[in-house]
Order: sequence, then C-alpha cells, then structure tokens
Amino acid sequence: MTTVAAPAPARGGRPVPWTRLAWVTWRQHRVALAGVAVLLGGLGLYLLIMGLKIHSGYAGVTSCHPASSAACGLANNLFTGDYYPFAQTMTGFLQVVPVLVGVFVGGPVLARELETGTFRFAWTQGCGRLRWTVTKLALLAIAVTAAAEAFSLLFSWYFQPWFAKGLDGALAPQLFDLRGIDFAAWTLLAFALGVAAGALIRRTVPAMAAALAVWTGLFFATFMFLRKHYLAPLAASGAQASTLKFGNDWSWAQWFTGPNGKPVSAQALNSVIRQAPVSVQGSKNPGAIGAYLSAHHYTQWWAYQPQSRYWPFQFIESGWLLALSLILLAGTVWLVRAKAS
Amino acid sequence: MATTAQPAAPLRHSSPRFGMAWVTWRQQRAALAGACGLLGVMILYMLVTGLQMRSALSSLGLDTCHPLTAARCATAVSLFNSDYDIWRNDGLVLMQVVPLFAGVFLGGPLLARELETGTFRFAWTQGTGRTRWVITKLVLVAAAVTAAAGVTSLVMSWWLAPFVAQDWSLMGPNVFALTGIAFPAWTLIAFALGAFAGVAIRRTVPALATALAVWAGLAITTATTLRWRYQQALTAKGVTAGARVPGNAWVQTHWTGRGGQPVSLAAFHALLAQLKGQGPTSQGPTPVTKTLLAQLARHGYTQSISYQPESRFWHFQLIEGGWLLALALLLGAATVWLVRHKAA
Repeated sequence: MTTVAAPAPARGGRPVPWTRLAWVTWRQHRVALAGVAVLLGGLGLYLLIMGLKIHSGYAGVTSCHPASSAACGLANNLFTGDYYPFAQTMTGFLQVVPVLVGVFVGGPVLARELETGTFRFAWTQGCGRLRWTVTKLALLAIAVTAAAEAFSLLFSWYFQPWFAKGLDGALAPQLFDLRGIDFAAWTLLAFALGVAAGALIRRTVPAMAAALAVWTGLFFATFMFLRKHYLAPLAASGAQASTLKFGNDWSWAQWFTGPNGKPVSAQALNSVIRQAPVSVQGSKNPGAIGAYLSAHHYTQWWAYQPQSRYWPFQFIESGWLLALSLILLAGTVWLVRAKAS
Repeated sequence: MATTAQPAAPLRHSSPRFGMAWVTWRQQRAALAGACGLLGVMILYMLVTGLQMRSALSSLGLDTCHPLTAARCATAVSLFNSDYDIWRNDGLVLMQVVPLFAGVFLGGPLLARELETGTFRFAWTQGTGRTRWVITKLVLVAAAVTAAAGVTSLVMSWWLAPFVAQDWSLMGPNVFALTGIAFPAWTLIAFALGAFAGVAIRRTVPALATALAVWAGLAITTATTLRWRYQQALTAKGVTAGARVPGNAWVQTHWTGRGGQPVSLAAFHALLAQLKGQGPTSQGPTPVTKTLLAQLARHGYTQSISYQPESRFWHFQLIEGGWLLALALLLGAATVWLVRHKAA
C-alpha cells in the first residue's frame, strides 16, 4: 500500500538517500568488516596485555637509582631480554596486516558482483552505478583506514619503552611503517589496489592475488630502496660520529676516505690493514684497527637520516600513498562508469 | 568419419591414467604459475643479493680472514654488516609469510571454487569418481608446491651462509622456518589448511581468510613457545654462565631463587633495589659485573642460561617437519572424507 501511495518521489529522479546505500554497504560487507575487527581486535588485545607488562617493567627500570650502577644495568638487561625479542618478532608479523585487511575487504567489493553477475541487479536499483560505487568505496575505505590508524596508535604506545631506551629509532624500516600515519596509508593502498584489481580482472581470487603481489612489490621496494632517498642523506665522519645517536638516527651505509679525501675501495682499505703491525692486527680490542687507520689519515664515514626527519618522512610517504590510492579509486569509478558491462 | 569408425575406445577408457593429471594442470595452472612466480621472485632476489654479498666478502677479504672476531677483520665485518644487515634482519622478517601465500592461494580455491559455483556436480559425474578426483588434485598440487618450496629453501641455505659464518644462529625464530625442511613443510600445511577450509566452508574467500588466520596462529605459537620445547634445553648456571654458552646458540635467560624456583622479574627488581649502589662509574651503565653476580649468588640467586645449541638444528627441523607433515596428511584425509561422505 505504501509503495503505491508514494511512488512519485522515487520515479521523479529524487535519489535514494545516502543512508540507505550505507545500510546496503554494511549488510553486504559486514562479514569482511567483522573479520577485520577480529584480526585487529585480537592482535590489539595481545598488544594491550603485553604493553601493560612492558610499561610496568619499564617503570621498574627507570625508577632504579643510581642508573649507572651495575645492579640497574642488570635490571635493564633482564627487562630487555624478557620482552624485546618477542616485540621484534611481533613487528615482523605485523608488516602484513595492512595488505591482509586491505585485500580481503577491497578485493571482493566489485569483483564478486562482477563475477557472479549480481551487478546487473545492483546497478539498476534507482541509485545509479556511479553513486553505488562511490558510496561503497568511500565508506569501506574510511572504515579500514580508521581501524588501521587506531591499531597503529596502540602499537606506538606498546613499543614506546624501546624507543625511550634508545634500542630503536623511529626511522627504523620495520617500525616506521607501523606507526604515525604510514600504517593507515599502506592499508588504504592495499584496499585501493584490491578494488582496482577487482574491477579490472572481474574475478575475486585472481584480483586478490594480483593486489597482494603488487602491494608486496611496492612495499618491498619502498622499505629497502626508496625510503632512504626521500631527503638527501647526511654524512658524518669519524670525529662527528661520536655525537650521533646511532640508536635513534637511521644509518645504513659506511665507507672510508683516504689521505687525499677521496673514497677508497674495500681492496685498497684491506691492503692498508694488512700492513698494520701484527700486534694491531691480532688485537682483541676492536677499536685498534680504527685507531691505526685514523692515524694514517683514513676517515670513516656514515650516511644517515636524522631522527628529526621522522615526521617529514611520514608525510612524504603517506602523501604519495594517499595520492596513488585516490588515483586507483578514481580509476575504478571511471571503469565502472565507462565500461559497458 | 574417424569418430564413427571407432566410437568404443573413448567410452571404455573414460578415465585414462593421466586424464585427471591433465585436468588438474588445466584447472590449476594459473594458480600454480602464481605460486611458482612468488617463489621464483624470492629465489631471484636471493640469487642477486647472494652473489653481491659474496663479491663483497671477497673484496673485503673476509673469506680469508680468520677468526672473524680478530681486530684485523673487525672493520671489514662492520663494513659488510652496514651494507647487508637490512637484508638479514628486515628482509627475512618480510619473507615469513611467503609459504603462507604460496600455499593458501593454491589450496583455498582448489575445491571451494567448484563447490561454490556448483561445477562440482559436473566434475564429480565424469566417470572418474569424486574420490579419485579429489585425491589426484590434492596430491599433485601439494607435491608441486612442496617441491617448489624445497628448491627455495635450498637457495635460502646458500644465501644465509655468509651470515652463519659470523656466528649467527640458524635456530632463531626469524630464520628457522625459512630453512631446511621446515620451509616446504610450512608451505604444505598452508595448502592443506586452505583445501580443508575450502571443503568445510564451501566458499572461497572465507576459506582463504580462515586458513590464513589458523596458519598465522600456528606459526606464531610455534615460533614463540612450541619450538623451544622440542627438546629439553641445556642449562649453564652460575657466575660464569655467559662465557660457557656458544655464541650461535638460541638463548633464554632466567633467574632462580633460594629454593631453585624461578624468580619473577618484579621480585628480582625488588632485590636489585636493595643491592643498589654498586659504585656508579663515570659514564654510562656499567656492564653486569662478576662482583654483582657473586653478590646475588650470596643471596641465593643464580643466573641460569637455557640454550638450544646449533648442533640440534637438524633434529629440530625433523621434529617440526614431521609434525607438520603428519598434520597436513590428517587434514588431507579429512578433506577426502568430507568430499566422499558429505551429500553435495
């Protein structure tokens, strides 16, 4: 009766309200979103429990006076030995969380409808395929990105004592992408890749596999090669190096310069070391060779990125990830609009 | 003409020996190509960086420098590590999930896709019989992916050799599962979990997600708690414990109190607070001194270092490979049983 009573607004071009589309999005993807909640919730619970233990242990270490005593040194060692190795293993497993969340939510969004043919029904319901796509993608993208950011904040809190102790710098590769806004940005990219691959390949599992492969390739290249070049690295030589805090600053390359100030090859350096007196070569003191080399005007250099560049690096990386994600999502919307089904 | 001349043969031999193998290949070749591509990229990466590392080793003279702990090698070791540490630390961390992806993406859709789309009704009525159909598929694909993972594992052992030469432990949680027979075994279990979840859930994506979650739980539990218990750890006790443990062993440190029972970290902190004032030195925390250890020993506290020596590597590999293989066979049998008995 009601449908007969008020058919005009729907037919007269007044669009279906956004809230209805949001409800459809929720109904269709609630299992995937629940999966994300279980994954992030489970890992989050673990981080919370371990984090409380670590923070209380760290409070014990910091309250130890005088800090330079051997007893406090021992307490420090024990605290680190008890929790740090597992914290490191956890950071390894957490690297893949963004891609799992993004690909499992993003991959099936369009691919499943296209694969099973239900898009013919979905796109002819009065809201139009454009609005249907935009609403779904926007809502899901916001949901996974927000969940990832919340998880990332929890991880930052969990890992805080190790930064405070100077065991890791904020720019350390396996930590940089779990904190700040970077973790959420990588999750958004995985989602966008999943969605775009789904629209292009039109089959769920191959789309997920393709998105996973592309994400992993990009992640690996960034992690290993790209990130260290966001800003020109600084160089520190032997004398200045003692003022660097290598736990905090991110250093990844060393080289030597000779008496003429030019870099020397490993072979040349080796032949200099072989000329050192036997007492120096066989010394148990690891600094002996360094002292010998600097006495002969060979200087050691380090390339590094200072810790103060943490936020610029976060903005640079998240910026290009966000731009790439938006391009992929816009491309997907264009595909849905333009491609005849 | 030819077809009418001899129609009997195709009917009688409706299921030739290699027929199912051919069907398996045709259906799974894209997925197999994907899994082998993944492992292939990993192998290629290891070959390129492994050759780079070896050329760096010889140009630094480290291949002839013995022992590596001597001062004349220290500069070269430090130069080598500054260039390649990121590969053994962070690179290995990223590789942990390779067996998972290679296995799950093959196993998950293997049966779930037929069940989800309904094509099993066609596939199971082609004269082969559903039992033979499922066994052939499982065995062939499992053998292919496990063999590919085995090759990857061999390359990994070669790749790790320069690090192992520096007294670096192969028993550690980040590397153990990537070497020996553990790597193909973890790949196989990912495949078996995927196939079983596919038949049990009968939908591809949820099956993938479930298998992935179970595998991750299993891997984390094994790395953090289970593997340590394969064999009773050796123990070194007392003031000089640290010196008696080999450098490449896998180590956990505990403290025992007066009665020999383990001491909690909190209780230990309380004791250390009483012992504070060990004579502050001019700069930085002093290393743990023998004096302090002796003083603690007088209070009945003993440091005990439990360790798994490197010589147990293959023993641990056989244990881990064994139980993973047994679990994979059980899952495979359960998958066949489900296909046979569950009304489709």
